[in-house]
Amino acid sequence: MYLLDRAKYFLSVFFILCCSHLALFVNETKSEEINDPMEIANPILTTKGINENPYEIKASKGIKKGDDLELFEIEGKLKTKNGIWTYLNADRGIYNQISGVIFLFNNVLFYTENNEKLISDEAIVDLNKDIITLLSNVEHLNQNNEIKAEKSVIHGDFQKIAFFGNVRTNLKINN
Amino acid sequence: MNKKNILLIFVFFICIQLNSFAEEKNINILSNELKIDKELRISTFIGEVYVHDENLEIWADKIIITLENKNDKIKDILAIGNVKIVRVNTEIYGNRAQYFLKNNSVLVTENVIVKENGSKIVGDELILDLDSSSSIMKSSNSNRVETIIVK
Repeated sequence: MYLLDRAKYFLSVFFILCCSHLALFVNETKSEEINDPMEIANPILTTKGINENPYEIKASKGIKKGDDLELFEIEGKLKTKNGIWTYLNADRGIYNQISGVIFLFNNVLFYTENNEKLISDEAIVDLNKDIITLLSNVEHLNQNNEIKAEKSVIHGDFQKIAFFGNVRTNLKINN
Repeated sequence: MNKKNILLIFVFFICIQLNSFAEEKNINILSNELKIDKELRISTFIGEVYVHDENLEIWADKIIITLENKNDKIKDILAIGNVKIVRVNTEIYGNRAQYFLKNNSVLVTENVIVKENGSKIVGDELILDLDSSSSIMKSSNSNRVETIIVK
């Protein structure tokens, strides 16, 4: 009798373990299906809402993984509140659909119609908050200034730019 | 060579001559932070600020550069906090200094000390004319200008 009870007990434990293992396996398969990378040729991201500032970001290739879209050979343009277009280029980037943030990597370049140029190794573009953060080897060039820094934060309309970390400025004066 | 060509060459040389008069000056600034506000037309350099050009060196806690409203020319440069200016053999200390580019002069205020060849002058206000290399030290009625000359 004791042995029968013991066998029943082990059988039920074994059954529970099997069920949980099966459930885990099903879950993993499902998540794999969701996270299965999907390649997109020439993806284009554009403004979704009427109240948003217009933007258009193109890439030669995109790989969609969940909420993230990895972009290659990026070219884009964002319109500031002042109506000035800011153009951008980068070798690679990751766009998160939920946060509306694009992380840009390698040869990041921003330039405006006002002959303003910003170069960095990495950048974060927050399309919702209208803030651009440039990181590592930041360079800002215009007709009067040449600024080098470790980090720069630009508010969308390009009217306020802050530089941080070992800031080196060269001013050309024609007074 | 016809008259037209001669006139063109003449105009070309006049342009070169005029361009040489429009002197371009480079100023280098090192700082921990820089904030540019294009609406207010000011650039604020913060933290261990060091400015140098071919004639002048300035150290300060903060330096504010204001641009003119109509163009991108510099109106004035204001240095605030632990200001030190070095020019040739002269060292000037103060808590506030304003550099006016229009008349190439510097106004140093608050605990001003001028050190030159071992001599020391203490006062409240110093006006330094960079073109004529002349300077005027002033003091309030209560504090008179104090000069220590080392022979």
